[in-house]
Amino acid sequence: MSRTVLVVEDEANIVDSLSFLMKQAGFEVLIARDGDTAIRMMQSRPADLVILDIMLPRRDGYEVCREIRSNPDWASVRIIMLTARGRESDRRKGLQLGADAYVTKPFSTRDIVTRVQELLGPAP
Amino acid sequence: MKHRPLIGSKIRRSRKRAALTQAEMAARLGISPSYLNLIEHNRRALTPPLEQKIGAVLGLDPNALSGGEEGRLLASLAEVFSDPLFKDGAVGPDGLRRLVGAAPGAAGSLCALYRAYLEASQDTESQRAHLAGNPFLEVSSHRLLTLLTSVRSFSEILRDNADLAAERRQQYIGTVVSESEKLTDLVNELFAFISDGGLGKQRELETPGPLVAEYMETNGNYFAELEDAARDLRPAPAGTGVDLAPLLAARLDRDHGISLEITPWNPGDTEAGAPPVYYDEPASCLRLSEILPASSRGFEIARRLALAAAGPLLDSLAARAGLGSPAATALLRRCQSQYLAAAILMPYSAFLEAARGLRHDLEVLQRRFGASFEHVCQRLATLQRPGAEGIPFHFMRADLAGNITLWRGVSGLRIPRFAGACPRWNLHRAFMVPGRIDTQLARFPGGSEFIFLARSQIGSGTGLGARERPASVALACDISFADAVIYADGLGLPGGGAFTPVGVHCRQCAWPGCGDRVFPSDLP
Repeated sequence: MSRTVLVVEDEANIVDSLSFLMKQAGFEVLIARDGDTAIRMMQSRPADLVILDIMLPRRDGYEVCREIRSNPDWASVRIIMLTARGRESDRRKGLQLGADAYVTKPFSTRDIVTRVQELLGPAP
Repeated sequence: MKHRPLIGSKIRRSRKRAALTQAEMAARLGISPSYLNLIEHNRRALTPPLEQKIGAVLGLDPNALSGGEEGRLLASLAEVFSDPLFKDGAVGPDGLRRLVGAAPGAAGSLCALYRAYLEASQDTESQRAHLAGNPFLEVSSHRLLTLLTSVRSFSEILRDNADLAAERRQQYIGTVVSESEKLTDLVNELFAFISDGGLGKQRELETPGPLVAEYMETNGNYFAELEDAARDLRPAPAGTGVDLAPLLAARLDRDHGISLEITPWNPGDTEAGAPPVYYDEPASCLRLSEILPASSRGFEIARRLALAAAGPLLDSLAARAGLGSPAATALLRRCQSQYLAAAILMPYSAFLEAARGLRHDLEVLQRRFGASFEHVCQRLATLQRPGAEGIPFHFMRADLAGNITLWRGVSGLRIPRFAGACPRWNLHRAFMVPGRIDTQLARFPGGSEFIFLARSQIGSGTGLGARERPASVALACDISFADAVIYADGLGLPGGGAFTPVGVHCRQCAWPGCGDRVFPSDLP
């Protein structure tokens, strides 16, 4: 069974490129365009890893991260924060809320694929 | 506006460059420090022998102080080239003379350019602060990074996937092209914003304060026409124990048909934004809240009288200033109406005499003239009538965040225009013990020494629930005037005293090993 990556991002072009990259790396891809949808999708079908933008409509990335981490059922879910803001305080806040990694835009495509693969480990 | 010769400031600059205090230089010249201070503020003409002496003490070109156009130009150029900016291409006195001889026009332009450069560098801090919080730039930078992310990721996908299906390949290339076009538009918008539109206009409107402060300083923070107008408007001698407020109110009513109403304060007024001072123009009624302290009540009545009786004078003074900015002109008019109100309540000669007699005991002056602490301090900084000068004081006010929100005066002190000022000034420390006058001896890296008197007020004393605006107010003057200031007694002056090393702003301060430093020094 292939592992799933949930891409939470409101920019259509970035969603397109991430979903191409993840599919090419052998993952199944789910897409949410805002924070509320991301949580609903996790409830119906938890992903193995979430790529989470911070500046999102409705509920922002920090809140989504906090919600995922507060649910023990999702303890094994990996989270990569993705943001245009590269400030140290944002990075620290994301990591404190339980994100596993932090990638700053504009990211390198090879780098983000490697990070996802590292976090999910070799395919079962 | 009267143009004063700038000999005084030239002497001051040269003295500071020579690392001499006013007291030291005065001693060498055989004059009193206060006399030297007056010269430095262009309030005393230079006699030829004194001029020669000053030239000799400071090692200035004999032409530099009062010589012809060429001499002045030469002195200015020498000053320009003494800037560390030119340390790699030093030009000696011979070179400067050749330059002035061959192309005086170009030499003059060079000086103008240098002045513009100085002003621009002084504005850097404000620009930085302005840019950091600008919502347009915040949104734009987010948008910029988003577009770059798209362009970069699709370009990398195209690079790493030579076997991409033709249709998908075309789609990705299309995205790169269209996102690049958006990037171009965004960058153009940003340039337009920075070069004219947003930045320039907003700055102009947001900060007319420094422009007005500079104008007041250029004029010695003294306005003879306002003093004369105050004399005509004063209904009775001030500072004699007679409460002027009812007399001013009667005059306001009789001559201008403006009535006064003291309005009761109700719980909730603060939340509703009810101002404690409100002029109801259609009803010709000045409404003052009962929570206003008596000193402020008198001041507001005097200010309304100033506006009603001296409107045309205030208009013409503000227009003549030629500040070139509607916001600055309006602010200047407001400040000068306050000046006039203060001059009505604290008449020049009587106030000067009282200040000297009381050795500037601020709180007694407050009682005698029925004025607030802040108004007394502000008024002291205006006592610069040629021939009857008081101590050249600087007045300043700071908020809790350390912003210096108002400053006036001609003491020679440089005021940090933006937050990030030196935390060692007692203007800031005074917030720790509200209501008490804090005295400080301050020494600047250039050698100038000041005495600072600061007092803060936390509660406004206007009732629970009224809006509090904590402020700290300070007066500063050169220590050569310390004998005329009662607060300096027992500090070990002259000669001794515990001085705090202070600066204006970390970037322009060279004190080594300062534990309060927050920015590196820009000085070599």
